[in-house]
Formats: sequence, structure tokens, C-alpha cells
Amino acid sequence: MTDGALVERACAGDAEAFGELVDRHREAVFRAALAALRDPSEADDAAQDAFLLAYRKLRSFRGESSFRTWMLTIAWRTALRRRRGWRRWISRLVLDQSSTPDTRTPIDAGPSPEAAAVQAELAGHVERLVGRLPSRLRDPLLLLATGDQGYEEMSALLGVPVGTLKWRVAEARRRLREKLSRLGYADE
Amino acid sequence: MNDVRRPGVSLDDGLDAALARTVRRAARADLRARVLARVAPGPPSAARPLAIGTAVAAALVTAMIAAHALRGPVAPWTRTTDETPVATAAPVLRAPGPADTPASAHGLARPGTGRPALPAAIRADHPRPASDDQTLDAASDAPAALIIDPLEHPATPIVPLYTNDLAIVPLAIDDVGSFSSEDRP
Repeated sequence: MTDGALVERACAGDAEAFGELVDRHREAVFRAALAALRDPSEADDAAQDAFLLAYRKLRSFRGESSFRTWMLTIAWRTALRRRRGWRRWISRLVLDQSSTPDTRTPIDAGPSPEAAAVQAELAGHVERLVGRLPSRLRDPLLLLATGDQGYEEMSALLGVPVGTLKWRVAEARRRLREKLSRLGYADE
Repeated sequence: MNDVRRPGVSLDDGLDAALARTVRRAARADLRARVLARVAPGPPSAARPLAIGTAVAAALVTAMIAAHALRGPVAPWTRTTDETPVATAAPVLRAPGPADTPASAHGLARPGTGRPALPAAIRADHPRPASDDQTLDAASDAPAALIIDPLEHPATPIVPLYTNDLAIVPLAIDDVGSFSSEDRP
């Protein structure tokens, strides 16, 4: 069954049809929220809020874009609202004092324990450095890293031309490489 | 430098992997159940409110309206601690009275008049009639401004003089220059 058909059934009051839409797109929605918030717990809450908002606004979905793009746009805006909200400030204060690593297993784990350890260390550095990037560079970099969307979809999501997005991603990577080099990471 | 160069692994590859590790995480499997638990039966328009944030905001607005009604037409944030409303409009100039004497303590007020006078150094070097040094408000006969020509007295500090509620602000050079020759000594 297509997304469009599920939307029609959900609009008619079939909550399970909407549940199927949630299952189909929850990963992409969660990762978009994670790209904006960089905190799995908050991203999870944002994803839930985004789906609930989408359900309320489902009748306004005209099918001009795919349901996925529409849903990701809602998720992104929901996450941005949360990022600007006061709860974000409070949670960041708490996290800064007692930072606990997320224990959920990444999708791309290292092939061996040693490689995984090295990769985890690098990931820690990258995560910290990414946090220091300005949001105009960080957002497209992380959205692209989710692997769920390309430049065209990101352009629609962020309202930024594709060329500008490409420059921002390249600039973000250049800055990260520069800072990683200072930490001792180097090319072969 | 802590060289963590590894054969066969470029920095770009490591960066890509690290970025993917940052954002490519799995969503919680119970997201569907949690969403559906908060969706009321029936068409989408019957969905329950998203969060308590709306209720909290409504309660805050209600409390502010109640506070406004209790405390009168002056908004709470314009009141001082002694319940004296702070003036929000521009202050009204009035002639300084006997109570407006703080400036005289600094030698800047003409004794007995409450009117500002030139600093002592200027008075000594350039004695002038009062009409040359002050612009008088025609309606109230109160001094509206202290005029010091910075070109003639470059060493004079150009600072506002304050009485209790009357600010006396020196005119700018352009303002001084706009006076007619009849007003000049």
C-alpha cells in the first residue's frame, strides 16, 4: 500500500494506517531530529511530537510532495523549535555537568573491537567539534550524514539553494579536518 | 602531537564514519505505539493536545491578566518596589524650585535662583550677562539648556547637568552655531 493510500485511510480515522506510516518513516524522522538536536533522547521526543503534529495536520497534506518529504519537514521544524526552547537550555546544562554517553548501538559499528575503539574516539572528537560549528554549517553536514536525503531534499527542507548547501557542507568538512589535524589525526 | 595516523584510512573516511556514527542511530522501536497511544480514536482533527506547554502558557496569560486587573491600569513591570508607577512618558520640563539644588552643591547653580550657571572657571574668564549663557524658556522663565560653546571653551567638559527631574543638556556645536548674531556676545 502506498503512503498516499495510508494517508487517505488515516484521514478517515484509521489510526493503524497512520501507525504504518510511523513505522515506515520513523528512522528518517528520528535521524533528522537527531541532526538538529544531537541528543538521542531529545530527538526521540521531537520525533514523537512531529508525528503527532503530522497526524493533526494530516488533512492539510495535499500530496504536492511525497509524504516522506512532508513528514521530514515537520520533523525538522519541530526539532528546531525544541532546539530554541527553554527545555533545551536546561537539558544542556544538566548534560554538560554529567554527560553520559548514549549506549544505543550505532548502525555502522566497527569491524573489530580495536577499530571500533579508534573509531569511537574519533567520533567523540568529531561530535565535540561539530557542536562548535555554526548551525548554518552543522545542520546540512549532519543532515547529509544521516544518509536519508540528498542535496535536493535538503534544499527543500532548509530552504537554502543547493549550491549554497554544497558550499556549507564543504566548508564544515574543511574546518573539521583542520581541527582534527591539530589533534593529531592525519591522512595516510 | 599525538599522531593517530592509520595506514589505509584517510581522514575523510574517518570523518565520514564519525559523522555517520553521530547521526545514524536507530529510533526507538516503540515510537509507533507511543504515537498511537496519544492519538484519539477518530479522524485526525480529534487528536489530543500535543503537550502541556499550551496549558502552561494559557495559565501564565491568565495569571498576568489577573495581576493586571488587581493592580490597576499600570502594568506590574512598570512599577517600582515602593508601588510608585514609573513615568513612561517623556519628563515635563519645569522651572527648578528650591528643592532642585543638588547642582548648586557642585557650584553649577546660580544661588537663590535654582538656575544653572557656568562653571566657575568659565565665569572668571568670560563674565557675561545671564542672557548670553542661558536660553530661557519663554513660557516658564525656566532655563531649558545651558549653552557652552565648545569652540570657545574646549576644555569644558560637556556633560549633562541634572536636577531632581530636569536634565540640562548642553547643545551641540551645530545648535550653538545656529544662533543669530544678536544672541552672540
